[in-house]
Amino acid sequence: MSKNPLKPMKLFPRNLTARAETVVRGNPVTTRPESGVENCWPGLEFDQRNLEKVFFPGLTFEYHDERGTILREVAPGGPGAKFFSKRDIDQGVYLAFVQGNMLERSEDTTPIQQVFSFMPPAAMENWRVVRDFEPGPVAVALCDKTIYDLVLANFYAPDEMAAMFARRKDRREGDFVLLFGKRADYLTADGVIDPVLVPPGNLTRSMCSPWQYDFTDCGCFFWASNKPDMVASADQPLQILNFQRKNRSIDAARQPTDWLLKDRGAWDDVNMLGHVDIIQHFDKLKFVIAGHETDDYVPVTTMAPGPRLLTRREVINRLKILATVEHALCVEYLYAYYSLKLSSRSVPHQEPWQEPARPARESSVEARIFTASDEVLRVAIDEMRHFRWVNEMLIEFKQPWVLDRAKVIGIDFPGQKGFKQPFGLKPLTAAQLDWFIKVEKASPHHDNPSTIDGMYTLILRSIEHGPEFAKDKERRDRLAQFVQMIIAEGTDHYHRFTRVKDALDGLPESAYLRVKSGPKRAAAGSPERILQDTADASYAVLLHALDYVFQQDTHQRGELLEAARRAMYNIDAACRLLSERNAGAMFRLPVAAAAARKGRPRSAHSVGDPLRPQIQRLRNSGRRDLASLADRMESKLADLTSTLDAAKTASQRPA
Amino acid sequence: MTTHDAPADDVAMRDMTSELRIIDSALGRHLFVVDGSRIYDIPDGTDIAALEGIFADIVPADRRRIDDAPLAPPPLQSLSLNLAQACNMGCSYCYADEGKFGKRARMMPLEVAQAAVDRLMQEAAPRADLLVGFMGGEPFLHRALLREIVPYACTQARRTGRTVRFSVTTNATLLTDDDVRLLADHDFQVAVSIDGPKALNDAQRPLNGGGSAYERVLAALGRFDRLGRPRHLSARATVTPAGGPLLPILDHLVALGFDSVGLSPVLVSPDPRLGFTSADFDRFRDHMIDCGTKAKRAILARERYPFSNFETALHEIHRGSHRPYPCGAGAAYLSVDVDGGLYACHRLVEDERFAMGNVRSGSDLARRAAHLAERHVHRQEPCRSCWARYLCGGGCYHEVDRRGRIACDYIRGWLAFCIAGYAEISAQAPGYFAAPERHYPSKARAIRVEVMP
Repeated sequence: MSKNPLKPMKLFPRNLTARAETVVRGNPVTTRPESGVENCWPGLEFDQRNLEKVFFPGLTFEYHDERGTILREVAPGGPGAKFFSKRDIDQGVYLAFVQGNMLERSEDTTPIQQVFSFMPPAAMENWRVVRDFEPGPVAVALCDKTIYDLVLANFYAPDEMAAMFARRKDRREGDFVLLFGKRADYLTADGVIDPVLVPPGNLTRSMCSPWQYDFTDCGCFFWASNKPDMVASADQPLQILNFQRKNRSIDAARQPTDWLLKDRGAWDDVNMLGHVDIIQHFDKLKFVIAGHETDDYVPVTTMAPGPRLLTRREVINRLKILATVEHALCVEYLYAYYSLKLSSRSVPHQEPWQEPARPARESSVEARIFTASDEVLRVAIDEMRHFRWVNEMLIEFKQPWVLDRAKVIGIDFPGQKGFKQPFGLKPLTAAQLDWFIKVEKASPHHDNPSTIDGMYTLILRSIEHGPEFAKDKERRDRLAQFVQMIIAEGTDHYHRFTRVKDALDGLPESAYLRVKSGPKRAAAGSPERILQDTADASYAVLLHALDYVFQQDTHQRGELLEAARRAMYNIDAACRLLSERNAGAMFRLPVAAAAARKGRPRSAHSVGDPLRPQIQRLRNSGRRDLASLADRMESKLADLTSTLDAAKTASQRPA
Repeated sequence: MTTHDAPADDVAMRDMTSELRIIDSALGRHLFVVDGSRIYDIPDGTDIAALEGIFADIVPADRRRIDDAPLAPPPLQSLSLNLAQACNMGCSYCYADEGKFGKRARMMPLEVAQAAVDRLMQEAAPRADLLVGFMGGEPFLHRALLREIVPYACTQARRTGRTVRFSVTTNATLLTDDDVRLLADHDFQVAVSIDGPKALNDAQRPLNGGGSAYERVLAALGRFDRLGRPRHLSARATVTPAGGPLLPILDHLVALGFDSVGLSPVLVSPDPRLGFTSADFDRFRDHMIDCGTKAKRAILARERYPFSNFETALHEIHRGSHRPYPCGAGAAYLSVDVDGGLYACHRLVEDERFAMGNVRSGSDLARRAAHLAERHVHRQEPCRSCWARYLCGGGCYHEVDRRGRIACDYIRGWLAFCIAGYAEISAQAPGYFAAPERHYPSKARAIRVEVMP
């Protein structure tokens, strides 16, 4: 076998596994003609028009001319050279008629030869005709400007030309030069675009790029493929980011229906950038990363040497603190979320993480509160995930997991001091929002250890480079992956909270806050008191569920955790009802979470123990809304425990 | 040259190693890489020895897609319920002995069926898409239970956040209007056992009480057309070695309007004369290839000719399907007998060696794990050195257990034909794989026009 075995032979991967396996250096598959996006003639990868310029071997045509389709070049020794000198071409040679194989209907399988006259002003129509030609014989009738004027005056009928094309010999006949050939297939025997026919750069020279082309004409806010305008991911609904909007800051993300159905017309006229704007300000158009526009790219792994690396023991100690911090932040965010004037239309959710209906009227106060609340909720849910990941890391270190909540959110280690803020539940006032932004803000290079982000970065560096972690490479990679995910989402949280600030900008707090203070214990026996106790019990169930999940030594903890997440529903239901009564939940930390291991749930059923008496209280309250809440909670609780049960059974299979 | 012209043992099918296989089609030469079931087009005259080196370099031993580790029993996903271990027909070749599996005729009690559904919910993954199949015997001998258990399964699935689909294998001779409505309303996949034209079918498939089973199947098809079709309506024809060419049988069944038609040779039968022997398989392979060749031409001509053995193989090959087991039996699939016993599959019920717990106490994870450990294809002989091992998976547990691996040459020959056919179709009609349904023109046929010059 030669040293470079791939060189002498071409293997074409045919089925899906073969295609997936073949990753070679070079252009991505999107540059292949068959996979190019061509919804519109300037496709996203290359301009199809440039390919068809050479559809007739030996001749190069120009479609981008308002006067018609003009012959630009003839190949020396090719069929055109016999009939046209350079002088003829300079004076103008026009493509008047063309004949080629065409399918009449999309369901046809056999093409027929058809003749088309090539006339302006729809110059691009000419290109489309050529584009539609099937492989096989083609013929062209070329003429000078004088004759072409007669063609434009319909002096010659396509039927007459069809008769002339019947004798397939290159010749000058009457007013035309008739040439015959085979439609170029553009590809070499190796299946790549023939570089002789289409030299490098030719395909992309009029490509869809904002500073180059007519891209605001695309119907749906197209952007080049690295800046998609529609972004969907598993945990987010489809989102459209209109990169053409004039307002570059506020309310970037909208639902497809907002853009495409409701007020599209108004947007086109008032709020969208035009050709000149885009060309002049293309550098203001951001990239879309993880569903959001951003121009902030911070490489995580390329850091200057920073503080000394942490030992394994130090990493564990910091993770134990970070678990309590993530827990505390999650609860602060949740309290802030339920302090907002949440849209009544979004109640009840099927699931707390399900996307509620967005208010129809853009830029209304309701829509702005919707944007703000939606972002805060998403961050809170992420924090719960971080809380879980930090605990997963502790378990990976064979340490007990930590369900406690920090009393102080801060960085305070020997040689590593940072901010300190007592844990506190407050409505989403401007000051509280600034605190959220501060706590989530990444230091510019992620290596400032006095921020939470910096602390994770230091942990990541210590895991990746610390000698104690080098032995078990797999474990090291698993741990590093958790930290990387937390860091990546932290950056996103900063952006999300900034968007919250944008959305609420200029609104008085009274316009968007329903709960205006920290938690206050409601009067004994009042419905608010029952709801506060119910919210606390639901909070306890969530922590119990997590505790139960972490107890399972299992390879399917992901599924179990997904089940635990369902406990969120009941917290959400209780907090929403409280919020509607202008009251906040207490979020009292249940005793079991505070490391009192006695109260630990032994079975899936016992996870629900704290809530069951509260459900009874709701029922006995004599209030219809509370009784109906009790029914919903009971059913969700049953779902939770049966799912935990099923997932546990599944997880007990031998690995 | 097509593979049909060049059968399995021809020079075109040189066996290089157990890792690589050269297969020729009308399109040219192809390389089948066993690891990952990958297919490459290679230039004619390729240096075969060099290929081995290339693929050894590309896929070192420690990066192979399938290693020796057995599959751990996954959560259950499908369960078949043998509603009636009894049948109204007396097919002489039936492996199930008229559904009784060697015992007396019995019916599944409601509480067993409900416990089976509950068991599936308990042992399935959260939010899974589940499948409940009804087998027998003839399931419609116990239609009361079927009617009861379908809505029960729907409710239980909804309650636990799952979705459930249904399938049934039936001889279709007992179907009433209400049965047909039930199958249509619940989007069943219905497999009808029918062996071919009337004379052949009625000879092989006698009704216990007399009369023509064929006529009754036609009547059932009429009911489906009148009252609503299920999600998928397929024919499954059993082939005995005594039968002649298969193409007329396939043509006949396709013409009856089934969504797909599959052919299945008898390997295990109470009457050994009705089961295929190794000597019968060469002929069988040739007959299958005749059928496959017609199906291939039909696909290229965009005409419907739904031969499921061929089409299923094409899509699996397109995906590059590779697995160390022949099917999901004992893994995510189990079968329930009338008493609630769980078995590896519907063909193996009542065989204690394949018993895997029961619906009340749960599936026996240890036995399922042992089953999967024992039957990993790397532990089978001569499978471990066969190039088709990850497409075939070692063969049906039931057939291998009863008859051994007597059909290997046939399986390899048939797969080689299908791989070649895949290459031809994927080159000439790639849309068939991207969107099979859109590949075919709508009922209004296009008018052909002549090519002028």
